[in-house]
Amino acid sequence: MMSESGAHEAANGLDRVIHEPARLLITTVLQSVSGADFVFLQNLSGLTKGNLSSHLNKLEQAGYVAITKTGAGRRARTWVELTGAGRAAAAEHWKHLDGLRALADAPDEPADHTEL
Amino acid sequence: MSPESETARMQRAAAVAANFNHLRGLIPLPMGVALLVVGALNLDGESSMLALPFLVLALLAGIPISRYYERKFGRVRTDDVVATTLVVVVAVAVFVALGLAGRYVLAQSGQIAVWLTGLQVAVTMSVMSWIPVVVRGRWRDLALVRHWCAICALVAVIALAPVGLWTGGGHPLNSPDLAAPSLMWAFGAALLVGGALDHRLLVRTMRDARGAR
Repeated sequence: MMSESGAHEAANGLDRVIHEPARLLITTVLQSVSGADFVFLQNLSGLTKGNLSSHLNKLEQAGYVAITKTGAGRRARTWVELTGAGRAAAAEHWKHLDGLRALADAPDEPADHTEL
Repeated sequence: MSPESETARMQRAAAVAANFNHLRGLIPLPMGVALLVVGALNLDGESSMLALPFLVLALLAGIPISRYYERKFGRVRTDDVVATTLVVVVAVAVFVALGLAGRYVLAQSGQIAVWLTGLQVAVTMSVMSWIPVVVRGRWRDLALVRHWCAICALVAVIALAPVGLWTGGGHPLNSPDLAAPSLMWAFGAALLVGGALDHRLLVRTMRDARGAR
């Protein structure tokens, strides 16, 4: 069982903006590339256009992604890339998740049976 | 679904995104077919001018396939200049060096029991599949080139089979008539199988990532 204080500390470090599963997938994928377009992210996440837009807006408002529109008409494309803050936040978030997993995998701590 | 498998799928999705441009496996398929045809056209050991249109057509066929990927899967930007340049330079260097070494060995010993151009193909393709992973330092991405490693290993095993010992001379594919065609067949077949498997990996991973959410 994980230590309560350690788990609490690690859980406190979780970024609520990134932690939502769809946004975690988006930021994780964007961490590995320079940028991806809307179609790619929609394909990978399986979200509807509206849902994906909403998640991207939340990430943009938090300053984690930069959204750029290029071209016009049939060539119009929306590019999404992580900002420096977004990259740092995503990396930090995964560090906390790994910490939580390590705590969960840790062997039980011996209980203190000292009688007073 | 367990958090463990969900995490693994997310990391797999990230790996596929990082290698997306290389996993568009349908793009090299026309070149694979063209190499098989060109190999057959060169069976007399002399290069035929008929080969050129096939190779040009194969390159042109890559354009609509590339557009298909853009429409169906979208686009990804990666900082791949260093890795791509290194792949091209090292692959050409290895290919030429092995070709020269093969000719030298053949000239020295007259007959070799193993298939030299097969070895040339296996080593060149192996280098091409490993370099991007090594340059990016993304060791988890090795899982994405497993099938290429298997193809290279298979070609190497076929090439190293000492067929020459049974034919009572050198390996038949080392003969001047068959050396160039067999090289093209090996490359062509590898591109067909590897490309198809790349495409399948891409489709499956994108589907799994959608399912994981």
